[in-house]
Amino acid sequence: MNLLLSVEGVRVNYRTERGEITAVRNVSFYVDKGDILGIVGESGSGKSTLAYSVLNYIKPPGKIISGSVKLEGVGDLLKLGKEDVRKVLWKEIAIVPQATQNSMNPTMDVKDHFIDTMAAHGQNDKQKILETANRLLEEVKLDPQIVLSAYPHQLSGGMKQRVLIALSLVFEPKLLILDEPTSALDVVNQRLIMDLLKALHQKMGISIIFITHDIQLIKGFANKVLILYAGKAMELGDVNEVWNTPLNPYTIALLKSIPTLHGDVNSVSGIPGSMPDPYAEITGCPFASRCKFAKPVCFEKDPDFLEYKPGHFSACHFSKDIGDNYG
Amino acid sequence: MKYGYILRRIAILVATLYTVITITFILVRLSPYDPYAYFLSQEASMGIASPSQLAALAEYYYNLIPNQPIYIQYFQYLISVMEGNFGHSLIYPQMTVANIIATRLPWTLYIVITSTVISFFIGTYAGQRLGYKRGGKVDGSIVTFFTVLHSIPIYGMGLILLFFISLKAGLLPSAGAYSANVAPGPNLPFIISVIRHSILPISTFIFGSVGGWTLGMRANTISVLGEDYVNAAELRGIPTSRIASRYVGRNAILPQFTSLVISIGFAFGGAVFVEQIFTYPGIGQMLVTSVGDGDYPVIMGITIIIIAAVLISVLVADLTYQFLDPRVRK
Repeated sequence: MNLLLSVEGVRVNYRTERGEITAVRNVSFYVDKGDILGIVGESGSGKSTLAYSVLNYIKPPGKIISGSVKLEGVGDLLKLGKEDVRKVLWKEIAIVPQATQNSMNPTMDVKDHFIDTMAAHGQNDKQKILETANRLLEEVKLDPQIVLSAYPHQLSGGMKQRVLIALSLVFEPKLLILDEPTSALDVVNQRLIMDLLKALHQKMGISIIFITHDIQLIKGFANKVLILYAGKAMELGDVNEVWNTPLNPYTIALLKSIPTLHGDVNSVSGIPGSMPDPYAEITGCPFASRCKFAKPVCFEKDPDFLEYKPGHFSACHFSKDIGDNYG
Repeated sequence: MKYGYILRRIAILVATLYTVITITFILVRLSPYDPYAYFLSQEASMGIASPSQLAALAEYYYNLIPNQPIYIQYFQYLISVMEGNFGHSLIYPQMTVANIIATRLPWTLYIVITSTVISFFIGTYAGQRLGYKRGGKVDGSIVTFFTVLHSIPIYGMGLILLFFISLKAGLLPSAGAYSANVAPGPNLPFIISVIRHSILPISTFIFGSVGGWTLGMRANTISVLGEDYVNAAELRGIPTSRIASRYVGRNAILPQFTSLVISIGFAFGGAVFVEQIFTYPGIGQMLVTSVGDGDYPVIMGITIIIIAAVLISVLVADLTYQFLDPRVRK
């Protein structure tokens, strides 16, 4: 009914000289219409790879081994041919990539980026394109008079970020993926972008997937959160529910690692150890070696990603106990 | 663009040219051969005995008086060059150096520009294709081929073509700009003859430079293909052909363009070898002949033309680059 995107069992491998590594391990999640889903994870946890596999845009040596990505009205994106994927990109799903500072052609001005993008999907009416560009640039608080004829090197980092957000909205896609949109910006610009996205979400009703390693950004922004660890989905659920009653030891450890403004600094604790070696074969749960709740079964069997409460999923053998006892 | 910048660049060009003229003047005068002594003895043997008559003759032809100290001659030469007067040839006293250059330069321009443009287009096209196919089997073997081609010096390439195509196979003429039996003018036999005679010199230039263009464009293409804006364009659903031209090609060609303009200047230097090998009547071949004859007004004139070509092409490259790359616009 309300389901917009459902991702099931996506697995992505990278072939390297030292062997094959798994970047995304059978990840499943879904996005309802109007959702803002935050995807959180450490660097190297497979956040970006997961986002690009949703777009069926994994370049060699990476490969999508299995899974399905069903988008409402389109079908399974992973089954589409290259040309069909091209038509879906930007019209149905748009992404603002992580490297926004370099995501514009240095020899094209902003106006040409709009024209090129819209012409690629059959909109050749220059007048209409310029109207759209004007409207969207104003939407992201930029002056179209100045920005449209500017080249990328004449824009600041925050301006480029906003131009790319405006560019991602030209077809009002059903789903907008933002890959660490604020990581390269200072806190003032971060705030500006976050407020902007919130306003756009309310105004256009667009669904958003928001990727970040900054778990605090999620809290006030997203309504759902997906927590990734070493390419595995650890927990998925309503933001407040996950915050208040987490079902997964990794989430608990992650939340404990956030310093608060007023709280005691000593109550903040890091997670001992580091992410598993990607080349090593993991038999059990990837987090087991760092988990203080770990039991022998955790090293033998990889826990399934199960729904413990309505809309609240977790991958841990002991999620039920944790859910009963946390707090 | 600021006029101050252009003026500064032109001032640098003039200063460079002046330095080059000075150095060339000194180098030529250091040569042990004394063409004036030869000229004077020739004239003397023809019956002009009076030293004052000889001096007047020398002044008429060469704009300078041989008995004067060398620094006076130097200043006189500088002044006459500024007036556009390069003097007379010592070997063909009835011809001015400017005349000689005017009849020779078009042939050099013809082969240099034609070959550079053809070579640039072939190399740029092949380079982009190879960049897209990087790492494959085709890429490896073609890169090796172009590297070998690029390593053969231009005179070696000229001799190879002359020997096999002209001497052994007899497919194309080996010397001159056109056959003796066609009438120069806008008629078909003459044009065909000119083209037939120019194929080998032009091919020599192309073979000598196409490897560089190809390898350069290939490297640029590979580097641009790794740029984020190419991925970003793909993610926006922009068609592959459009990305290849407007995103990859347009940015990869920028360094090539600068090289293109500059290489036209430097090809004038290469013309010395190629024209000599194919006895092609351009300024390069004239330069070699003049060096043999010790005809230094001509040597000086042609050297100045070649240097000026290099300097002007560098200036043109600098001034036009900003039209291609918005990042250097002022």
